Amino acid sequence: MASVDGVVLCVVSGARLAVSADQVDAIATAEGPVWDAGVAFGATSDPAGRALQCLGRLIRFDSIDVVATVGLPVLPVPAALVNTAHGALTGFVELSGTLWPLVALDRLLGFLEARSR
Amino acid sequence: MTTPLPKGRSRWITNPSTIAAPLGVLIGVSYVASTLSLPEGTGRWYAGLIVAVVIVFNVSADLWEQTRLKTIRGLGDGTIAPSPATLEQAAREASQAATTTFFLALGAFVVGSGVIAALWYAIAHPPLIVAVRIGLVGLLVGPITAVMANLLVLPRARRVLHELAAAGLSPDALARAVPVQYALRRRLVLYAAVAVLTPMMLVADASLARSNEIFEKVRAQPDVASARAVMEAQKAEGFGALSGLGVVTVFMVVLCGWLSGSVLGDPLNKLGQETERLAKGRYERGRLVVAENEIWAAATAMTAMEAHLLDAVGGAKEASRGIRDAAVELVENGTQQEQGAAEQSAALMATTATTEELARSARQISANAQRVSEIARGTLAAAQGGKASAESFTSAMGEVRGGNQAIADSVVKLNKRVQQVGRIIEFIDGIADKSDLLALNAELEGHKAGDVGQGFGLVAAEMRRLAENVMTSTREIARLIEDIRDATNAAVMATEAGVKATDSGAALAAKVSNSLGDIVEFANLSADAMQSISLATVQQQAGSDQLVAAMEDINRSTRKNVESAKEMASTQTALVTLSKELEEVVDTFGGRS
Repeated sequence: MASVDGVVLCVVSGARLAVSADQVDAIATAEGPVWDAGVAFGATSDPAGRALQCLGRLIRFDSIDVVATVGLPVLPVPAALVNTAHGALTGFVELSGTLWPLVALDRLLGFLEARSR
Repeated sequence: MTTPLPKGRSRWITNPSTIAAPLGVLIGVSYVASTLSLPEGTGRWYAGLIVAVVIVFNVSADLWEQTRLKTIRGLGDGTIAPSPATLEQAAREASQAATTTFFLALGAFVVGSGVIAALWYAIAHPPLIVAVRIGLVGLLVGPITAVMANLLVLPRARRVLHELAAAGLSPDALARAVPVQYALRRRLVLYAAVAVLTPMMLVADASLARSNEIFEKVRAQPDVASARAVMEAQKAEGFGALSGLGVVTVFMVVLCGWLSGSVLGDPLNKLGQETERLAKGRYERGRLVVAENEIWAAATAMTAMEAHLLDAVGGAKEASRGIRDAAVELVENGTQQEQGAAEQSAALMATTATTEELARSARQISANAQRVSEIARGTLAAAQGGKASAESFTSAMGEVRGGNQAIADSVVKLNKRVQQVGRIIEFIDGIADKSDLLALNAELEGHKAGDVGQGFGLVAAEMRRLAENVMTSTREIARLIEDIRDATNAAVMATEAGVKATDSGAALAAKVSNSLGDIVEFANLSADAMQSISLATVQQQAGSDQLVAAMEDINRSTRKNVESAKEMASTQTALVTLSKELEEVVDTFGGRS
């Protein structure tokens, strides 16, 4: 079973998302051109929220938290959800009894770009 | 409407004389036959002369009469147009017809018997005494024949006079045409004398002549026996002629009596009827009873009296109609006056009631004015007190305004300080936010660095919690500051409102003070005015009381006027009734005018 060390937990429009800390370049304020993660859920994120920087671009969430984990098991994606959000869903992690979907930030960017068109 | 005179009236009037003349001749012949012994051979001449003279005189008399009635004949024939003058002339002729007939008959008999005697004496040479006696027969028979003819013509002449009146002859013209002659006594004496003396003389003369004849015959007898025989024979012999003369004489006397009675009685009877009609009030203009002598005078006087009465009745009718109309108009005016007086009385009653009410109101107003005057004085005192209170209130409001203004200034300063604190807190919050972000990135980098960065990550996490604590605190402080700002804003607004309220209050107080000043002034004026009003209402009360007394006097006078109007209306109604009764009474005398 795959595992991950260090995840960034994001909440947008009440939805939970987990991102591997390796894929995040930096955490920044949501100023300037940003991609709204709420679009993926048919909603709009808090403009005063925080943004994750990836590949030079910013994705805005309502809140962001960093969880220091080592060897956190990643639950596999069911076959029916493999292609969800341009294949951004890479698995699930369980933290404090709560299941968080683990997404690939670069694919999420591609999905958001496709939705914005 | 007039009726033309019938044709042939001139001849119709004189026809009776043609009837009376043969009767007179018959009487004369009977007288001669019973009283005279005509000589042998002279009787034929005597009879022929009688016939010739009777025809000549009758024709001559008739011609004479007709010339005296030519206007009547012309009106009947239509050769003379009826006019007042011709009708009056015709009336004159008709009124004289009977007299003309009388004298013509008398003259014809007197002259005719004389002519017969003279001619008979000249032709037959009878004894002179016989001829003279025959010549005097006309004096015996003529009067009764003339009277009889007169009495027979008179009714017809009256009839023609009536017909002339119907043809348009006015009663005045008739009165002029038939002059009044007061000869009734003379005429009655003449009728009586003729009716009595003629038969008496005829019978006496006939008896005397018969006695002489018998005496001569008896005297010529040689002895008594033969004389007695002659007397007995003469009794039976002379009875026939004498009895015939007596019968004819009696007939003529009775006829004359009947005719004279009719001539006198008919107009009297008609006058009685006319008088009875007048007594019943049935007056009629133009009615006339034609008569002669005093009866004619009475008839014309009655006609004139009736005309005058009709004029008087006409005048009385007009007067009674005028009285009735005036009375009716008077009643209408009286009724209007009565209604007007009643309406005036009602109006005065209402005015009196209103005046009394006005007097009561005046007394009430006077009392109220007194009270209002007292109240005005109380109001003046209260207004003066209120003005002083308002001035004190204005002063207090100024002080409150000053306190509020100070509070407002302090609150504004506090608000500014709070805002400064808020900005500091925002600055601190911004630092804490950036610190949190830095801590997040540090923690992220620490995790990325793996085991090497674990310690760094823990420190970063601790710093992040500190930053978050700061941020939590700053947010709490910011909320408190916000509360303070809200409170201070509310306080500022409250103090500003208080200032405004105190300003308004002060302004109002000033206005109240001014108003109270005005009120004091007005109350002072009102008190003076109410004092004047009170005095005026006292005078008005006195005037109203006098007015009430005057209205009561007027009301009494008006009630008397109404009663007088009612009495006048009653009197006028009685006057109308009397005028109607007068008109009805006058109408009973109306008849035909």
